[in-house]
Amino acid sequence: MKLSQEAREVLDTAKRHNRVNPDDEREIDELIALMPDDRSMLYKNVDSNPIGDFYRYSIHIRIQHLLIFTTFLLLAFTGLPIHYNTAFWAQPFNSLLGGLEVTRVIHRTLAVTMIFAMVYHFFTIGFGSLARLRARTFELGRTILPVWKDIRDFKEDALFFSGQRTVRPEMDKFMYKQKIHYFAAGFGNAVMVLSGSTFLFPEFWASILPASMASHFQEMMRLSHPHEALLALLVIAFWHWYNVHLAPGRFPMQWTYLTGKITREHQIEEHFLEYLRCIVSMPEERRYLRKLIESKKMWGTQPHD
Amino acid sequence: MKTELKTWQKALAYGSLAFVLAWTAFGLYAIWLTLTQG
Repeated sequence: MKLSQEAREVLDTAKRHNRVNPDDEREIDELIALMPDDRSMLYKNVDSNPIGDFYRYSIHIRIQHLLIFTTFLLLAFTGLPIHYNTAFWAQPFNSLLGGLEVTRVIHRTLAVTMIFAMVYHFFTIGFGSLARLRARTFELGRTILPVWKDIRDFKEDALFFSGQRTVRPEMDKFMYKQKIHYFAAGFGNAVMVLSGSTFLFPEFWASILPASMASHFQEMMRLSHPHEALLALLVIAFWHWYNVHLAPGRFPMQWTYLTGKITREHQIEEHFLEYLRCIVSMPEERRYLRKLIESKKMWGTQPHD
Repeated sequence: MKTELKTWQKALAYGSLAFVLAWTAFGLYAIWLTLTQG
């Protein structure tokens, strides 16, 4: 396989970070040369454990996701009968919980838990990045931050899905779609927290905003809270859940949120640059892949054919 | 090629899928509410 310039740079950086010895370096380069140019031949033929092969998310990230999604679901369930509190179905629901005021208290408690998860997340990625910077192993391309390559990946992936390209682009740990989703969720959470805070602390907002703006701001926040919630609900149900439950290769469920691991075929298909790092850091993966390549006769470009 | 899921893994995976589909139905209901009741 002929690696792109970016993939070559990722590979060289991984070798440096892992302090690879010359023998291992030779082994890695030989393995890369043996790999088929058509990467789909790899991800269609490798063995994968459906609950995950490679480490991807720490326990902290998994706890944050768990907190965010449970509070999100419950916030939606309690927010709806608060917003439509006069509806025929909302009144028995609120009565079941102890009255509208109790539903509100539950909703606010859940909101505080969600905010805690967000703060926990900022600490995790902040300290994690600092630790990598200090160890000189930080790579911008490996983070969730958007880079120019994402635009090119998006274009190349669109070409692939429209049948004008044979392989998907070589993407990093987080692909363009995940970055869009992450920042959309971040924006949505910010809107919900800001608008929710104006319901809880109207005097505070009135005291810091100019008098001419305060009531307009309050009205804007009152409109945006339920509508942003609805937008988030749509994004989660029709985008996120499609990608992690229904998309080909993920059905019936992607296990990463529980195990913190990603399957081998998924890593090679959508996060090939991260897979290159696995090849460098995991000798057992090199042995597995070499054995697989040598046992397959269908790959026309291989020296064994 | 993925290995087969164990029974408890299948129960968990398909259970989660059923849950999110049910929740999607709830989302559609919420949309209908917003469109009809504002």
